[in-house]
Amino acid sequence: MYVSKLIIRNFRVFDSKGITATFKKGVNAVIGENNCGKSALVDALRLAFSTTSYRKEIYFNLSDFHTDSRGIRSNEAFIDVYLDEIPADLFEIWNPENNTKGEFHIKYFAVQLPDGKEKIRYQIWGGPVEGNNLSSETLESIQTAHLGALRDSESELKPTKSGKLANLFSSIVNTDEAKEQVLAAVKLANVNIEGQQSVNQLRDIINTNLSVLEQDLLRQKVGVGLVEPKFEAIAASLRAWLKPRWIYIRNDNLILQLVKDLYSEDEWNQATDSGAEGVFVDVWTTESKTLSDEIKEALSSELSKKFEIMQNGLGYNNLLFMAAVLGDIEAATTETLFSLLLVEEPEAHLHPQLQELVHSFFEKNSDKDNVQVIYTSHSPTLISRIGIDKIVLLFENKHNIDCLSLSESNLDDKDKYYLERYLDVTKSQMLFAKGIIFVEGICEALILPYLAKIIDRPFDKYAVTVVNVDGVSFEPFSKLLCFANDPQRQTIKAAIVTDDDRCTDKSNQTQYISKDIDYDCSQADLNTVISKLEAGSPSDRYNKIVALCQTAHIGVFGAPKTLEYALALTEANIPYMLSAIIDVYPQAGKTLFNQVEQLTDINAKAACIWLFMRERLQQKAEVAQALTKRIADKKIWIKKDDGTFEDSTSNGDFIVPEYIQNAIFLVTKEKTDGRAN
Amino acid sequence: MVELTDEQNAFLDVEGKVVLCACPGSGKTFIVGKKLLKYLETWTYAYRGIAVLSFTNVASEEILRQIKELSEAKFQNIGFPHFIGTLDSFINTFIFLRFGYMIYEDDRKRPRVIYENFGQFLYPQRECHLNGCVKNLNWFHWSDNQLLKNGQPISCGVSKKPCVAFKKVMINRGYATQREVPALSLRLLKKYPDIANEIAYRFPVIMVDEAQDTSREQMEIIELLAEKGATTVILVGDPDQAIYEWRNATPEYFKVKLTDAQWNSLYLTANFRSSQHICNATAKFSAVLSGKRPAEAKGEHSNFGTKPVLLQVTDKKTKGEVINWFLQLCKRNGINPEGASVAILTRGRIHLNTDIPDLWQTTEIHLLALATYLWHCASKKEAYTQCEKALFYIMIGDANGLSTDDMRRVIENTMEYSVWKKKLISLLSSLPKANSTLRDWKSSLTTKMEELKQQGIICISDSRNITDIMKLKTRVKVGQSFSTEFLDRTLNEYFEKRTITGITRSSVHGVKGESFDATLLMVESSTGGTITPSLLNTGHLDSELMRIAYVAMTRPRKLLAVSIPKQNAKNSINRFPPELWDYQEI
Repeated sequence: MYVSKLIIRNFRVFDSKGITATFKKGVNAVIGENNCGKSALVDALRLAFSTTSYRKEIYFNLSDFHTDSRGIRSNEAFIDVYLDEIPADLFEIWNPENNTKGEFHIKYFAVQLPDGKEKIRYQIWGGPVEGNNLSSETLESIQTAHLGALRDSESELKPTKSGKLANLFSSIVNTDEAKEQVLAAVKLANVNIEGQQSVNQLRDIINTNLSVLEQDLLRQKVGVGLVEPKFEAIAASLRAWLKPRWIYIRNDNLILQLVKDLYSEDEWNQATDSGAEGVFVDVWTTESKTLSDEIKEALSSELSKKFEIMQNGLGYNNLLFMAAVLGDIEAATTETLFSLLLVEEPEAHLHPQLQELVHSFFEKNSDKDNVQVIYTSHSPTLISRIGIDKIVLLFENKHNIDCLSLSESNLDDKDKYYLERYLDVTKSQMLFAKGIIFVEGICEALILPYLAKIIDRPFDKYAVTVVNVDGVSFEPFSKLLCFANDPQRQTIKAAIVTDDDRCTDKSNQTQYISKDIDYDCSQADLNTVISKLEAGSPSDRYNKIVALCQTAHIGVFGAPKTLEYALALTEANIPYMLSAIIDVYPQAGKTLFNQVEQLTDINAKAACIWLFMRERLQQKAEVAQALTKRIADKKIWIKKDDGTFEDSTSNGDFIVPEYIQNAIFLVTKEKTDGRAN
Repeated sequence: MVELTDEQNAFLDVEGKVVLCACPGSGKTFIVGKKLLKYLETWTYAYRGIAVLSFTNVASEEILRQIKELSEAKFQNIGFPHFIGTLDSFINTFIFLRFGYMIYEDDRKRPRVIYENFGQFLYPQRECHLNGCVKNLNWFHWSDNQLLKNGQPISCGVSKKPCVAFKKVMINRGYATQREVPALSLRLLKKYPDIANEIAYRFPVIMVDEAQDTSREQMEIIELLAEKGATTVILVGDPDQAIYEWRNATPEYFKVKLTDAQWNSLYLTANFRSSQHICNATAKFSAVLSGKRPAEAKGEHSNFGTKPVLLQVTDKKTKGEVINWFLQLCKRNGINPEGASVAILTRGRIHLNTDIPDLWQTTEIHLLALATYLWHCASKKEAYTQCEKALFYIMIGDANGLSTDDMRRVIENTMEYSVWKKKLISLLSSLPKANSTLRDWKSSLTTKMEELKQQGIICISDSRNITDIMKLKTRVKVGQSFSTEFLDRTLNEYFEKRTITGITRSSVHGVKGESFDATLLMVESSTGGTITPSLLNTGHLDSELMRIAYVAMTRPRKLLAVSIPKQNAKNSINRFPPELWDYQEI
């Protein structure tokens, strides 16, 4: 069984239209930028599953009702939970028309009491229509465990009655015999402790003072021991710590030789590291040895210099904590039909390799049919591992929170296969952005952030990610960001910036520009190039992506021919472009400079620069890099009268081509400064 | 530890489709309790349970009490996953209310079960008025394939029947009466076999007590669940004790099961209640035992020596004299009516001539009278509910078909519920004593209500007056003249079905399943469609009236008496052979 769908309306950031999140069996991730409702989604699930429990970790408050932009609070909130592959045992949530599916619903509403105070009431029902009883027993068959975002692993693992360790221990030790054994061990320890004179002294002091205080009214006496010999008290006193892996035995410690004797030469070499005045021994290797009492005692005295929880690093405490909670799920009784583990930011305090381990850990634990994991995350490392179908993306759209479960996006299996290969750690970051610009190559990827700054839309401020598709496979990406049933519906704002690649169709010789032509061609050839570029029609490949996006919310912005040509089509940009080229090609660049200098027509200049770059693709990226530096520094090469070049400050600004401006505006904010388009 | 009979042991061990015919006094509740306990002690499912279905809540409570006693309080409350309740509530809860939304194509809602049809026919035709259909909406109820009128197909000449249209509107609005719920549920189960599968899975063991009182649809539902994989389905009953035909019950279906090869039939014939004398005498009135040996008395009082008494009552004797005579008889037999349990049973209402048509002229006054009776003589909680309904009618409007929650929602639209509650309690505490005469009750309550109105505690909707609400029938026609005698009877006489003032007085229906030390069945009439001497003598053993008499006669442990109007010597009294009955006369 698993949660297949969750609809939340009027709860916290989710408005009356609400969100619909789709989940899959196994591990699922809920992602999105900050404050877009990831925790609210998790809390909605926690609320839903604990509605009828006697003990609740979470309650619905008045402040949980959604407040709209006008500041008006709603009075009704809804959480709808849909489950799939449910066992026949769950009669009360079962849907006869869809035999393996089930659902239940909760409505929270505010009522005004006579004294003016408001109170929350709720109704919960199983099946599609309101009014059908959902017993607490049915919901108790579903166990949820929650690891909050700001979990304090240290205090959660501290010995307390309701701590994770105590819970786990209680669920493991569930027979009277087992409990008796634990009790017996503690009683024995107490007897030993009570035999100590100092402990008796302590007890007597307390009792003497107590009797003075009580004045014979109560006639109580206290005992002093390790822990009260009751099972609950023992469970509450358990603590976990990481055992040190290595024990340091000094050379002058007599025990060293005794330990060494237990090992063969080879074993000893493998099991130890030598230190300055002693030897580090791997404790784990001693576990397989038969140890004499003397050695045991000596080792345990070394071991007792143990780590407390507080001495473990934050990251390891987190791992310990998750291990304890998952242990609790595993130890669940047969009455538990389904366990849902909700984790907020499992990556907290963990370095990337450990994050990957955590992911595998979840995958392994949710391998069973009755365990599902839903976590929220900001970690591209985790996201890149999980699989597209299992990602639920929350995003803001026009000040409302919306949700796209990537399993509901417009992808076919081929697209998915492509994307799963493609979405590595770096590229997964795009799913955390507010805006995405897809580009076809490294040049665009390098230059766009600088162009955005020029038009006052710095990408860092607007949380825009530029994704280099490394080619022209924009289709899977644009489909990924669209609802299959409504591609026009806004999700993360996205634009595709690409070249229209006109004049590349060899079969159309009236438009095709021969590859043999370089920048230093004849004037006649140059004229042909110019006229072909002016009259050329965009490539089929470009038209196809435009057509695809026409029915989607994603904008396509094409460069006339290529990025370089488009940039060079503005007079003010020519010096920057030539300077960047000179940086990379000191000789040829200057020749190009001289040639361009001769031309007056901007189209001719741009064509010339384009021809130059077309023949020199190998260092395209270097040119782009140089250009970003030139733009940032506002520096250009100026040809002096003597024909030599001097690096100097430009007095003209670099102008961003309109198609790029429009792309940036689309993914950031519409232009509002009144400048003409 | 009581030694179980072989019959009882056989029942404890049996599984599968079982029909158990349990004669009166055979310790049916005890053995059903035993069987249930046996399941409970070894039950391992967390979300699947045992359903034990009875006909009344009282019977269900008796099973729970039995379990508590048998298990020495180990099983105090039997809740989830088990279900112990009435067959009606089982069908409501697990079929109709839960899945009834599937009746509707769209605008799906959970249907509601109401107790009476309400509303009116649209465009009734002349024939509808003539046939009385327009005034008697409760005649109409759905079967599993058509609309019925009082259990019969509708056979009038009206085309486009307004009654059908009316009931369709009811269903579309989500209302079904309790009477038609089993039929509608059966439709659902047939249309969606998965539901029956799921319920059979949810309740692998189903026991139906008093199965002779099931209707055809109820029986079909049980059969369907048995077919769909419920591991064990047990029908417990006694066709001789089927006395609810007026509620659609038909013992025929139970009897068919007794001879069905697919069902395992078991009998409990030993009688742990009555003396052997009583067993011998009553066997003549049993269809089950017809042609068989009378039940063997095995209880504590099996050897009680007094034969049943047939008392012939001469014309002029009053009811009181008959009762006195019976009490003397009890005393002579060592049964002290003060200390022992003694019952005087009649076929119908215990107070004669309290069936006045249109006595209550408004819904409000009827509810207030009922509330008065409940408040002083029965359940205060029930009284509260009825009084709330009355107040709703008085202050707000028609409450028909509204649940308590619905009413509350409407109330909260006009005032705080706590304010409403204060008004309600004022009205409740104004209700006069239930032993006042109807006349006094009416005038006293009218005055009180006028006061409440003056104080602004209650107000009346639709600009009516208190007197418009407090209307009783003023006189009834008796022969050629009119009588107002009925107004001088006490209010509780109109509601009492049973009184316990030292001795129990009740209708036979009211004591079903109970035992008394001594019982008098009073047969007061020689004619008419009721229990008469000639019916007892020559009536068919399969008739319901005969079964009612049989139920009455099988109640006593020690002493049975039947009083009948004195018979002409000519009439033979062959079902009361003198060797089994002691003939007396007053």
